[in-house]
Amino acid sequence: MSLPPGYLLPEGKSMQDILRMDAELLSSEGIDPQLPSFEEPPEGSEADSD
Amino acid sequence: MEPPVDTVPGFNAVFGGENRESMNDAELLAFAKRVVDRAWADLPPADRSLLEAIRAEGRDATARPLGAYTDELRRSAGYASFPVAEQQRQDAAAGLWIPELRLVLLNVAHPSFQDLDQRSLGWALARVAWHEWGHALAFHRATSEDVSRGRELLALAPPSMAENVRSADYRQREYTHEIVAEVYALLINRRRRGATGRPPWLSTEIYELVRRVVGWNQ
Repeated sequence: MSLPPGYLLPEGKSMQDILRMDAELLSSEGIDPQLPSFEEPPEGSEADSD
Repeated sequence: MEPPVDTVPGFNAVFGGENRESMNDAELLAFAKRVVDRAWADLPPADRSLLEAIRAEGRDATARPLGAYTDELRRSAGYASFPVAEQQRQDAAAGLWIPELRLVLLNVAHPSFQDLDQRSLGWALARVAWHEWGHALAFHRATSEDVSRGRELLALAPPSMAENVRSADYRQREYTHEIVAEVYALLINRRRRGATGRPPWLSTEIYELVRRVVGWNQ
């Protein structure tokens, strides 16, 4: 089995396009796609418990 | 060893974000490392525990092309180099999971990050890290049958995701792994925003595949 080659961008697309795709999918289920500051931990999240 | 970031040509010049302009190269790399640590903390505790159990919790950011850099790391650990063509392919990657070294590595100087402001950069770096941890969790549990169903799974994926996987430089036998890793990154993103379970935009078949090969139970 071959190893994953790493994260490759689609031809002609930027990371902005990838983030836009994510936002569209999240929006489609009613999730606010706005990006809070990433370094702030999500409030009340289980992820805080590390 | 990795050279000081201020010796990497054009490292800071590629970044034009409004908040990022004030960061020098060292600060930018330090930011990326903090984001990767934050992204690690966002993984479900069970996933972190599993990765730690197999000593796959290694993570870092660099400002060097990943093929060349990881080749140095692998050779210094006693592993043979990949063929040049494979190293060049890895050079084109924004992130990489290196099974032998149990390491997820991001290239913060990758051109794909160049037009992002600091906030978007943080999310983009985290997204790539989550994608690579998806590989780390799933790689040994995906069966050869799963791998052989890549094209079929692509047809079941959200159209925008399928198009991205199809138009990147992935081989057909890599489609299954890439779909699983992309979905895992999005599931972590959703979880961070309080959403769990199967997203309505994801087919039951792919969701069950992710549950099986990643162990997703959120």
